[in-house]
Amino acid sequence: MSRARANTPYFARSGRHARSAATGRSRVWYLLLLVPIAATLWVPLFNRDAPAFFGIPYFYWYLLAWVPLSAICSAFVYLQTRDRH
Amino acid sequence: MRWSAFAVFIALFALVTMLGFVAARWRKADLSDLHEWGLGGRRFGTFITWFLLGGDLYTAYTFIAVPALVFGAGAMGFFALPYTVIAYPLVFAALPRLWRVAHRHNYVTGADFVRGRYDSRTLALLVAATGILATMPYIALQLVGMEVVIAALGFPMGGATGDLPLVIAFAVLAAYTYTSGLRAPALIAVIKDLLVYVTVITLVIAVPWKLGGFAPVFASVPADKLLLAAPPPHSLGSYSAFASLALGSALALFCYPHVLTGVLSANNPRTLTRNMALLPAFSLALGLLALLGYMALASHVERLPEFSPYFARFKSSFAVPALILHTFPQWFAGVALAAIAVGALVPAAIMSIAAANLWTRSVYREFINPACTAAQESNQAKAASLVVKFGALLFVLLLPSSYAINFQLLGGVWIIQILPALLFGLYTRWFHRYALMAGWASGMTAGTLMALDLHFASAVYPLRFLGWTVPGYAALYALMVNIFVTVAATPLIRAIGLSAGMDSTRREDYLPVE
Repeated sequence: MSRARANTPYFARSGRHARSAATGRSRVWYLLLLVPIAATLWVPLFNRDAPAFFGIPYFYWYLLAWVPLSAICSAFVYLQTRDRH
Repeated sequence: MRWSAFAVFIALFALVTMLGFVAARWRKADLSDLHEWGLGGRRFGTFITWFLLGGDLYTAYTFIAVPALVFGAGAMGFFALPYTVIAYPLVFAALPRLWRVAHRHNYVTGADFVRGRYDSRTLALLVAATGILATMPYIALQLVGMEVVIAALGFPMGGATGDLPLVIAFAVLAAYTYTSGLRAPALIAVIKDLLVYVTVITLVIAVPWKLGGFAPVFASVPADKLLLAAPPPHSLGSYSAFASLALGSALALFCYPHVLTGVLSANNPRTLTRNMALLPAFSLALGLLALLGYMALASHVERLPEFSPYFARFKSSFAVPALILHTFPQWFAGVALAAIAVGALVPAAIMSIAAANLWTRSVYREFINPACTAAQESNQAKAASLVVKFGALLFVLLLPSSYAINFQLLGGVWIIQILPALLFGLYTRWFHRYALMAGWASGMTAGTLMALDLHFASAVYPLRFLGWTVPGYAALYALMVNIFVTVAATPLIRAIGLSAGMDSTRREDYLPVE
């Protein structure tokens, strides 16, 4: 009952947003998401204190910098994989 | 008592309480329907989802524990930053799939999906029980965070008078969660996140200003804590510990019921992917907060006599409240402490709703009252949310806070064990349901044994392998055991000829509509 009742297909509500098919070509962009993962998990890349930035050792500002950088990667993948029509 | 801080705190708390009750009428719908009460009708757009998930993922405990970890352990505590950096790319493609299949079949929880996908109410029960088990100590930890704040306001610590404010705050929270469901934390999250941003930005500007820049802040950090220690011969040392803590925490994050509740309440999959790019704004705040640990170190707050009883009781967890009280005039300290306290209420509300949804769908409707009406189902969830909160409150009042912290550590090790059924299940049905159960059982056992072996003192297990030592997050090692058993058992169980059940989802349920 309750299972059947709320089965309104969501495309009935938001038809404009529904077509976000990732085509074969745009799916390659998902690989970009691996970059921030590798860059922040491979410790030897950043485990040192020089060069400092405004007194912040490299280790810390490098990891902080990857927050906006990974957001840019995600935003880019979002734009490349959303519907184009 | 710090009266002016307390006055500001009470005013903000009253505002939040009002919002919590008003929320019942926000985007009005029939709250006697589980997906309205427990998922806000799946109608939250990009803006609200950003605040809701931000308020959900970055809890009061995060705001106290991460700087406390950096305050105590230095660079190792900074693993929280890569953790939040990689969490979003890891699930970027998976969450829209989960959202679509959940929406088409009216799944309210991750366990609902597992039930439909694998045609197994036992597997769904295991997933739900793991979720509830991992969520309870997480709620308790939010209460521990509130205890620290209440003490910082000047209330006596411990005893009936010390516990009373906590009980009142939680009773108020329970009342509006009961009446408004997920709408309450969604609306309050907006206030909470704004308060958090104001506090963090002010602290990160004000403290280095007082101390003369970031250089003196880092100069006060002991040299052996400033960077990760280079690994000794034949060991990956702190490097593998750091990376595995970040990776394991990120994988565990989206297995937590309260996070899935936030995800499923979005109005469409694009809201989610858009938020994967927008949520890192909170990670930046978290990174800056982690630096507060060093600022507390540089301000020598632990040596100030007025704070010594607090450090004696709460240890490094008092680093941030001490820094707040030390840096700001009292009224602004009230704002900052309210930010942390409301930061505890929002996730606690969502967690209790998520646990209630799990109970109602996977236990009540499955085993107790399969013929329940929509209203009965929703009422059961409302009642369950009260039980969950009351249980967490008793946990904190009756047991030492170290229990909550230990169980939270175990919770992370446990919750990651549902990942094969949940995340892999979104992409393939190759895994056999009985193999998933066997994998779950092995992962739970291995993880619990590792945590016991470490006496809960650490989450990092020093695995010895071919003459090498690889210290790594116990949850990740336990997950590897789980996956190994699941993969090995699947062909065996199929060979025996046990039924794999009927998949009630179809391939196109996971894909965007063409």
